[in-house]
Amino acid sequence: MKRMASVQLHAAGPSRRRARSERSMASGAVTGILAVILATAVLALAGAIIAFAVAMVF
Amino acid sequence: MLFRPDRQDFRLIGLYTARVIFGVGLAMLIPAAVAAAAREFNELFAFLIAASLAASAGRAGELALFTRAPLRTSHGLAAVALAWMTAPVFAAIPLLLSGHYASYLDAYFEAMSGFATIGLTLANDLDHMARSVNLWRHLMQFLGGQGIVVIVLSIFASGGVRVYSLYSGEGREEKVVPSVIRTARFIWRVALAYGVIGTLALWAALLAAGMSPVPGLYHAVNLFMAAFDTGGFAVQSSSVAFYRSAAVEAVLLPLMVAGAFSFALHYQLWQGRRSELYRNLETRTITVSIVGVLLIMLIGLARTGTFTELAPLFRHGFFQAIAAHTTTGLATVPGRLYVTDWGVLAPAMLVTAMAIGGMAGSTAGGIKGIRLGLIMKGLRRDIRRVLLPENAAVIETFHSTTRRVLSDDMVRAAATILLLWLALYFVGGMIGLFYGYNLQLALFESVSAASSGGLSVGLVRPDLEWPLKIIYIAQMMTGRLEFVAVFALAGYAVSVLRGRV
Repeated sequence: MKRMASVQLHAAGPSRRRARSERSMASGAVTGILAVILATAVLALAGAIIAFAVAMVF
Repeated sequence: MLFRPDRQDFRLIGLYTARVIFGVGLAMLIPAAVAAAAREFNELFAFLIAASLAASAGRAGELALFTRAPLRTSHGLAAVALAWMTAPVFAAIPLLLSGHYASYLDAYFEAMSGFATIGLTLANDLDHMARSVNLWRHLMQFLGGQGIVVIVLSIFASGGVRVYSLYSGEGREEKVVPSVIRTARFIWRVALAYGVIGTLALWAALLAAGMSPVPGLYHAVNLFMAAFDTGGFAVQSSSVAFYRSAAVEAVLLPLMVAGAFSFALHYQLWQGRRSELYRNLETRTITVSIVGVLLIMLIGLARTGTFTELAPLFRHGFFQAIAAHTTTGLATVPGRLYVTDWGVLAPAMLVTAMAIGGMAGSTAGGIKGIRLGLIMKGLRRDIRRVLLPENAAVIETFHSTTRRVLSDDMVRAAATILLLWLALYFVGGMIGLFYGYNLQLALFESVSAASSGGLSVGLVRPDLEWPLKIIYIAQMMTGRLEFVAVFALAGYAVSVLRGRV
């Protein structure tokens, strides 16, 4: 029984690691894409403020 | 020591070029399948003819030149340049057979513009182009855009400090992840993630703008490839203005920004290191540059009175600033208006934005943020040296993945590449002046071609003088490959001419 459990655990190891790696890749992708959207939003906000200031002055 | 390549060197360069040509032949089967599905039978035959020619030439080259000799960096660089010259030879065939191009030179120009992710076009009557041919234009941008990133981060970086310093102006190697295969895999994974999300978001925006589902999906796929690979081709001749949709423009903006991000930065962000976004020297430089460009551009537009209301001033000004700075080249206004309605200051800022470009190791072109950042850091260090006592140790550091100490070699290499870029822009501008175009037009188009910007003021058109078309083709290729690969190929060519083989 012990040997069987050990074999099963050993067999589950790589797939668990793979599953964990895929999870972290998926959460990494979300972080990466959100960072790009955030960067664009910050630039857009800066652009809107500049446009407003320019429109006020000129 | 003289550079004396032997036959084996040329076999290797030819072999890898042949493999790329074979790949181009296989890629043509995608638009061929679309042509079959859309019942565009003339185009289907054109794609099958071109695919057969490319695949046969590629396979024959592979068989004739096969060797097990190891590939050195100089072979890789020369093969990249030769592949970039020969791939459009075959890719242009279906374009020419479509009847939308006046000559083979025009079709070759279009194919080079595609693979180099430029976005300048010589197509006649684009609005009535067959769907499969239009897809091929965009697919070339996707293949060229993703391809150049893989090349930069694998072949250029594997060449060690010397080659990479020639490329980026930094005396260091930059591999996103340790192996070439894993680097390429990560790059395609990022493209796939953005591809799925970006295409779906664009499709939703196009449906909301009133487009039918199937044409909407077709436009979304093409727009994604044009935006994420900072290409700039568009399905319609009026580019993004065709859709008259703020939602479409809003989705395109982050896609263009993502395309201009270096894959090293994508990797850091995907690893959860969000602080890299505001600590990295290149992101800081690009951010300051975009804000500066936008400020002067909007002042120029406001003073000229181009847009009398705040909303269009922001909408068009911001979109065009991002499209130019990321060297994408998508447009919300007809290019001719830059000259007739935008005054002088705003087009000058578009040229500046295209000239600076995006980040090193991205699909964007131009001088690149890292080089400007390093030169500015070097300037700051020199000013501090002047101000501080002579015996003071002045050390300048910058953040790029990790904290690094700025060295003289880094600043010198960055300044050298900057000079090469300025020379490339200048040469194209001068030849434009020689053909009688005014400085504004000649410089705009020259910078657009060399930096892979793709915005046009209308000078690039089918009846453009053929020598200028050839100059722009050379600029597109040199700018896309950032000199180093072109120099390597030129080195081999010179050795043949001087009989040193």
